[in-house]
Amino acid sequence: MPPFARNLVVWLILAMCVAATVWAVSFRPTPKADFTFVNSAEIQSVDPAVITGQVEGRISDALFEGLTSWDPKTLAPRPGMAESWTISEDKLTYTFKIRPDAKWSDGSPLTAHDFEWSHRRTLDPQTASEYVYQLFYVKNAEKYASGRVEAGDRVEIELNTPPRGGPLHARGEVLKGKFVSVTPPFPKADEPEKKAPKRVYIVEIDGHRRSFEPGKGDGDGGCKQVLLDFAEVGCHALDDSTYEITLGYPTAFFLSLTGMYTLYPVNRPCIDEYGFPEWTKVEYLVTNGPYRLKERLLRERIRLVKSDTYWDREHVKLDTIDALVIESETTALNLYLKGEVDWIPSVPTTIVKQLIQKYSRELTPTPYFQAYFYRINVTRPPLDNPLVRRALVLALDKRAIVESVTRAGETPARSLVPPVIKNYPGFTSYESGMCGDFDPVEAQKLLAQAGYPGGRGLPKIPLLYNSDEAHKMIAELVQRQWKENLGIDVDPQNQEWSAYLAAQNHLDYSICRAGWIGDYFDPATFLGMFVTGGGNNETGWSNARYDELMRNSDREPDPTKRLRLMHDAEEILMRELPIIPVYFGVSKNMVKPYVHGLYGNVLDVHPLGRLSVDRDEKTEFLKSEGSR
Amino acid sequence: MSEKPTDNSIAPAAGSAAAEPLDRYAQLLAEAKEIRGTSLGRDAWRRLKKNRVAIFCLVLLALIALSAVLTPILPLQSPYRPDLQNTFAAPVAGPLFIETLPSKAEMDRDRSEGASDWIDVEFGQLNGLNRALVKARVAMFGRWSLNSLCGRDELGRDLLARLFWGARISLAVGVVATLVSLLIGVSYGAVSGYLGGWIDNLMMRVVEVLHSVPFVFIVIFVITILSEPSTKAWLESHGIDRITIFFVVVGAIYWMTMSRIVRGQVLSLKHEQFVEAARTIGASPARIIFRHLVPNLLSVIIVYLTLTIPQVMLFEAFLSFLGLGVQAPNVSWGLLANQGFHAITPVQIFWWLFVFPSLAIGATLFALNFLGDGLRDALDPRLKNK
Amino acid sequence: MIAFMFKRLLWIALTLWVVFTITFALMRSVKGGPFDRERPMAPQVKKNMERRYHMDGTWLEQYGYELGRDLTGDLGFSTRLEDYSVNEIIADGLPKSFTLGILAMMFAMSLGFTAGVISAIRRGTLLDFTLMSFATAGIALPSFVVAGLAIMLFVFVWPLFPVAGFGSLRQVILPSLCLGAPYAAEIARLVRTGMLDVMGKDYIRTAYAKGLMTPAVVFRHALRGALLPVVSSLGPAIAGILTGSMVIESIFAIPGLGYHFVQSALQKDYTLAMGLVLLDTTLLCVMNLVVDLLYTVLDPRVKLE
Repeated sequence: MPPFARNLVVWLILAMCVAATVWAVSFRPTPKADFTFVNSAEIQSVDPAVITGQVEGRISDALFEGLTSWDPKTLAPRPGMAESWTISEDKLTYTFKIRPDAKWSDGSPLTAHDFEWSHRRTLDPQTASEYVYQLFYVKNAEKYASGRVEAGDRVEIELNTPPRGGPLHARGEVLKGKFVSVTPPFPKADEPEKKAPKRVYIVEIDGHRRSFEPGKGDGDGGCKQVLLDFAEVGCHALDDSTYEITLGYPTAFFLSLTGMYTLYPVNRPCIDEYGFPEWTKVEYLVTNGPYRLKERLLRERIRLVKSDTYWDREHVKLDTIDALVIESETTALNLYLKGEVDWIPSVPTTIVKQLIQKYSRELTPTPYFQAYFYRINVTRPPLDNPLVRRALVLALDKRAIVESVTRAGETPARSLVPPVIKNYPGFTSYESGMCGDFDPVEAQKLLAQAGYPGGRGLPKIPLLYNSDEAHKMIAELVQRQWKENLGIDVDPQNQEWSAYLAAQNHLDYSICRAGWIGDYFDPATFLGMFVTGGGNNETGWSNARYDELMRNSDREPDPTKRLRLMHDAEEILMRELPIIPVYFGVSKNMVKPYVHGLYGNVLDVHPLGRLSVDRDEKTEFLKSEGSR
Repeated sequence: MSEKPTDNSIAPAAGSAAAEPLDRYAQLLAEAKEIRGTSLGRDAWRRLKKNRVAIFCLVLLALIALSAVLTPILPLQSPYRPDLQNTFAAPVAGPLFIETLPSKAEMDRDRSEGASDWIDVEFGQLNGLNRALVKARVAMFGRWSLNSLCGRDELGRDLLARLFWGARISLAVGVVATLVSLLIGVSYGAVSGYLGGWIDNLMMRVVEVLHSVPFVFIVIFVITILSEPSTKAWLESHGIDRITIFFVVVGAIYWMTMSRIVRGQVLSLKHEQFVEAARTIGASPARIIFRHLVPNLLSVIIVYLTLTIPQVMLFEAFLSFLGLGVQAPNVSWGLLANQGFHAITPVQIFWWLFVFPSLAIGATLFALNFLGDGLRDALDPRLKNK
Repeated sequence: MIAFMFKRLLWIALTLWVVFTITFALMRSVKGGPFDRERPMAPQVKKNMERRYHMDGTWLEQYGYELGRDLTGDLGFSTRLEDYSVNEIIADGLPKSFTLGILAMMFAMSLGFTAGVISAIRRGTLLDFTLMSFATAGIALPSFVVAGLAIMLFVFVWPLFPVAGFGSLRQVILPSLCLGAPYAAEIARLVRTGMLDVMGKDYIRTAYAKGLMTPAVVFRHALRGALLPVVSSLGPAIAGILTGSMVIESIFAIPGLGYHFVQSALQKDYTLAMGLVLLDTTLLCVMNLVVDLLYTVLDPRVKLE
């Protein structure tokens, strides 16, 4: 290579470096929003049908609205898209009146048919909604979603191609008929199939028997899926403004569920046109809530702007809202203290005490519908012995954990359901708890009774938790306490989130950290976990009496009796102890004093549509901050 | 051209020309032995001694290693006992010693009941030697231990003690994992270089491809696989714990550079006369590689060793940051530093939790790096006359 | 030249395939897949999810499907960030990682070269020792410790920089400094050694003898000789700095790819993890190729094989 070319290359590289640097330092700053808060993780999706978490809920609640919405203070159901509703005598049929000014963000009217269509979509197996079970209280919904039909049922067959002239991603053409048989037959209800075999359905249509094979190509008999006829499911739009839901059994908290994101309506033309997940893109997304999606930068921020088609737009005070994606609580706190954000949903446990003292106006932890506990694998000796489990519970000084690790005023727990439900006769204070108090002497006795005096003969017990500083601290303290009080060797093991979940699901653990946040405001969201074979049981524990009580409570229309039944069930749980309750959580929202409409509530949900910022107070506050 | 050894060897040889032949040969042989003794190692040592920084680092490292080994006998508090009244206590200057261990009566009481005894509770499960050291410590110092000169952590545990006990694990990880990488790297590189031809080509291509695998990812997966409860239980039944897995995994990653260096050296050495000689008398390839070639690579290996240990220790810290490090209640420096990192908050900075572990890591790695540089200079023939 | 390029590209392809296979095998052998959630999915729902992501077949079927799809350049949909395809996530995060990486690299090079050259010229002085101590410290401290120190000093004690975020120059200065620190240290050491090597050579002495002043000698002759080892270390460094900044990115809340890299592996987001592994490998291979090509430009003695 000639020298001049060599020099040329060198200069070229230098020029590239300069250009790259110039490119790197050129930023396009975004103007500040009226209200900025920290959303602690990147959301899984915008689609309300597929999401599951609190982080997603915050965004979804701003973008969409269900039939009802939750009062930000009391969480009582309030009119949402439905302006009113009636409940039948037997508490089984709910008739919702959709408000006439309900509109989508593109200006088109929102009708009862949109709800019917959206709820069907959530139930459709192809949507693969994780929270689909929130709809299972509706008559036949579970049957529809599982695809298990019985002979004689009306069924619908979704063909591979959408109706002629329809949009690209629309549902395939639907044939209806009567189900005759399927080969191979479905397995029994509680036997999950490892791998779905190819099935051939025989369906009678207009007197002719035809066979259908889901997954087969376009040829004869090919179709997408065979499901129960949706007309059998208890969701019906009677006309544009009347939506009727029929439940399988009376569900006291159903009006809370209709305010939950899984049951939100989604825009049919948008989804039919673009399909999932394309429809969630900022440029296509059509919503019906107080806010519209303006900008979505992955792991950076979500910008919401006020919707001008929302029915209650007069009461929406903030024009723009930014949700920043920041995982680290310390970083979030720092942004908050620097005045960059107005609300952080959580603060670092290390300094929560100091923060409560110093910022008493801004940080007031409130009881929360959350329980922190340890699951015990009761199928694994020696933990299959209730005496050992009881000894473990009694040897645990929960007050020490709450005082020295969590520090935010959490209540040490002696039962499972957090003490925030009025009228529930369960746990009210630590002193009156159901399972025993800290009592190392009694614990040692129990352990000796179980055949392990002084911890002799007990193998090392692994204690699983997911990687996190606070969980680690608690695990280490628990390990110490059991070692000192019982002489038991515990081996704390941390696992990454998904591996930890897998171990829990497959009962591949001995003792395992767990936390649970109520989905809706009812003890059933906690106690329902531990019924035999329940998806969230994960302890191997089974008790016929418990199952019966829980089943009866499901069907009990009288609220007081119902709570009583659940309380009895909880007592069984606390006697058998497949779990070790540790503490009940508090929500740790830190909010600037000039923000109004954000109340501490037991589900820790804070609808963004109700927030407002007082400008004068804000200037004053900033001035006083500056002079401090 | 080194000066002294050559001078030594010529002068007496000339002076004894008149002596009897047999004596002369014996004398020559003795001298030859002496010369070999003064050659590479001693020469390098001589040059290393001149490098004051390197010597300082060597002494420092020796001290750190010694105190890590002797930790159980030192008058330290229990690294595991929480003190919930004193969480986040700042470092104290005095008094220097406090009484912390359980009282004599308590120590004996536990034993009489036959449950796990106090050493178990205070210091975790120790092997016989370490238990003996702890007992010696009690005999020497009684219940006295050093006060919390480095402060206390979130659960009120003494940071000083945790630093010492953490050193044991951190250093063990660094040294053992490096040795593992050495074992793999040297064998692989030497075999590849010695055999040559298409085998060499293939083996080096494999290294090249493996080099492009993002190993952080691999490590995350391998550690998750191996610390699955069931797999873990199986491994533990064979006496393999998480730290051992650590050694092997990390070692298995850092061998590639070593294998390349060794291969290059072997390629240039394998046509030397001593290898030819060994081959003519019928030595097997394995014998030639490990008996004749590898010892000649010792200088390279030592330099590489001192430079790989810091890398491994850094990697351990990185894994601790991700939460994949050693398991509680065990401690390592990386783990402590990570814990300290989380204690830097806008409201209050618990600086001691962050600064002391960082200093421990920093000082050790700093010393290792400087020592490595010094060794490289000392062993580099090009720098002989400087 | 063409034959060389062809051969190298072939090797890159082979490497990618091997990496793909290893990654695939590792991911599938871990217990717990992308669909293990906090509230376990009903078997039916899980099956539906698996079908949506084409993970319901045997391993071999999945392997074939994924390899075929990735070959077309479509890396599939993320299983965790359900609204995004892996291609979109990369397109979104890569520029941000690049921004940070470029600044870090610029910082590392300017600081590294300066320190290295000064240190070499003033060999054996206190200045040399101080600079090299700093450089060694840069290598000897874990990156999160460096970041922690920087935050402690420059955010809390002496509030010069914002604590985190991405979107303005002030926000990226501290993270790029922290990210570049070990590389700056590495470069400084390499430059120093390289220059000391070169300065003992005859042609430098000749240059001195000709009466050239020190700066001229340094920049025209000595530095050039010291450049080669730096260039060869830059290839992997650039690839690593661009994608491997996971610690820094998660500490400073930079929405780049480094963070995804770790999280996707930890959370078993198979598709995203695979996409990022392939991206990383490609970058590394391409960077090595570029470095090899640069070598022939900078050093006329080197010929492509």
